[in-house]
Amino acid sequence: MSFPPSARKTKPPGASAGGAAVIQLKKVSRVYGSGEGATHALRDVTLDIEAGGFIKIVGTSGSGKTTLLNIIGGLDTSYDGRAVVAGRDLRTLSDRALSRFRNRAVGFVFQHFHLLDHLDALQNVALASFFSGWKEDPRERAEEVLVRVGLKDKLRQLPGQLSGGQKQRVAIARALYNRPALILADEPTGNLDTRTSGQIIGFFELLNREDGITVVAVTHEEHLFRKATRGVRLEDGRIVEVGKA
Amino acid sequence: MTLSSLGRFVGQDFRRNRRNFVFAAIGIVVGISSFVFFIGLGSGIQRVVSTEIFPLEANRIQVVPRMMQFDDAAAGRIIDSAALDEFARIPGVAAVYPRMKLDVPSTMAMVGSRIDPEEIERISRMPGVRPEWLVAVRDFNSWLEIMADGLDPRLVEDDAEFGEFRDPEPGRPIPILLSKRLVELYNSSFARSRNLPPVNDILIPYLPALPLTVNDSFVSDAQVQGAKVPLRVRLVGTSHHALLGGITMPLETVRKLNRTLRGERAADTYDMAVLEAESSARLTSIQEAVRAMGFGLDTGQQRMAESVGFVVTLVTLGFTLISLVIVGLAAVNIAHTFYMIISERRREIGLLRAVGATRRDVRALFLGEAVLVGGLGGVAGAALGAAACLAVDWLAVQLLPEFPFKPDRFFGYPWWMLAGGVAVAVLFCVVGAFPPSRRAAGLDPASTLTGR
Repeated sequence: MSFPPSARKTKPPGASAGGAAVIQLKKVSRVYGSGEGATHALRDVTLDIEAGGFIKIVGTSGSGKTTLLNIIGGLDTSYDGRAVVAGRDLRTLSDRALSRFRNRAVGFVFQHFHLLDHLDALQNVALASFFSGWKEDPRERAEEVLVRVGLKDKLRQLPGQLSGGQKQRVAIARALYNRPALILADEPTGNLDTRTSGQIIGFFELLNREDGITVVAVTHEEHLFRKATRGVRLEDGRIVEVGKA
Repeated sequence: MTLSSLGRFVGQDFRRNRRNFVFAAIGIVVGISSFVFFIGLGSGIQRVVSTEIFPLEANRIQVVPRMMQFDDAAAGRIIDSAALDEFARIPGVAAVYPRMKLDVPSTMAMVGSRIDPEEIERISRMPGVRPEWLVAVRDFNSWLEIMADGLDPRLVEDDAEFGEFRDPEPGRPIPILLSKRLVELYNSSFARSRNLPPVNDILIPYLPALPLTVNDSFVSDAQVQGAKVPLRVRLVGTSHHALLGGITMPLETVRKLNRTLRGERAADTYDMAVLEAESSARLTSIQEAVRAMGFGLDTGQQRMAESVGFVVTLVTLGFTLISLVIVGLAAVNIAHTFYMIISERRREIGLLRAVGATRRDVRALFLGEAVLVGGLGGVAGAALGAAACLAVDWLAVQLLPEFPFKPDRFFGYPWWMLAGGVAVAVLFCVVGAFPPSRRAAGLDPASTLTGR
């Protein structure tokens, strides 16, 4: 990854490049364990991410990338500092409000797909409908997003009958199900070959460009995310570089 | 999460884990089936005790003259017409049913050879009548000295099924009632051992009138004064209110006999009065009023019924507790199964949290599965228990020899027994699954998803 020097020099690490910030992190720290065995996963991370951006977060293993993503997605609230996402101060939310935030505002894509083996593609995609209470027909919407990710002929397939790339597309469809404004992807190409990885990243680019969805992706393979609008590099839980990808 | 969403999700999970759940529910099925079996048996025995052996009437008391006691100045009143009027005026008393003892001894000569052959012929045409009975009846010879009393017909109007129970026209047979317990003892022991016909609803209407001699004794002439009174009596039914060791006639018949043979005072002296309360709630105050008036209460049958009922309840409770222990152990097994399932599904729980499940939703999912396991296990257990009740009931009725008060059914089948079985199964499953579901709800989604 190569960041423009101007971005690094003129703005402090993490400062917004402009536009309305959909994610605002202020001095966020996360420590696992306590005492001498404590591990500092994040240290005073301050970061603004504008709406409609395509952000890649890179860094070595153990640098705090996944922890950062979990905090932004409201999966982890045991942090110090302040995290405001889509206008919500996450740590102040009740379990119910936080769950609603995860259901409506965020879509997650994981490295290991996390599909439920006993459910077919349609049912996996419609999983969020169990907790959203929407009146919309869950099957209709699930089919719509599966068609969008190119799996029209795989609706009734179980995960065991799908390739890695197809599984990840089902996972992306699941993330899109409730029309979120933000997609958080944790090593989405980590289990895929180069060609399939390219297709998946192309799809994220499409969602970002055409639907205006903010995409934040954690990756080891930074060279694949060429069209990211910003890049954030973490080392030992600190942001060491922020800038144009 | 809506209830229908919960139902769909629980159904999917149940199908996926059905093997685990089937094994976990075996204990529930066994426990609930034994629960239903023992409740059914206890309920059946309780029914026999309270309706056949010691029938209890919740809103009636039996008033008797109190024996004279040195320390009780109010004691010693007899029950006469004035006393009956006083009873009727006690607040809460709905009806008073007096009972009068026949004040003279009576004898009954039952000689089979004297029975009209046409009567025998008529009985022989009845369905179920065995030829050997007719032989035994023709050879039967019995001379009995029996006691008799008179009872207010209103008290036994439902029991006189085979004729009117009231003072008859002159020359007509006197309707009598026999004690159900006496008839039961006769049918199940004496009649069987002597090959005599049973006294039952089929034969009673066809039994001939029997001779009764009032003011006659085989034992002693000391109580016999004046002429003997030859009468005929006809059995019109059986009743729990009838005299246990004798026959019960209409009150007015006994009153007339006592007046004729013993005078006016004997015709206005009752040995008991049954007081019917407007509601069982009024019984206590009525009992207090009766005692204050100088009368006693005959609670022997009630005490006996309560004692036997208590023992039956205690034994039933003991077996029910054993059943509940089995269900309790099954609940521990359910808990273990759920802990195992939750351990296997950590990542799935994390995923559900990531797509919007609250802690409460996660807890509801596992408790919903517990309700389903308990419900299905409870239904299976209740069905198995009911089937065992029916099978044992049938076998007991078929194979056990006749004995007094042998019931048609040994088991009771109250609706709440089956519903209670299912409810207990659900309750224990939910209790068993509660700690694991709490643990599942408390899992940190971030760490479960990353496998940390």
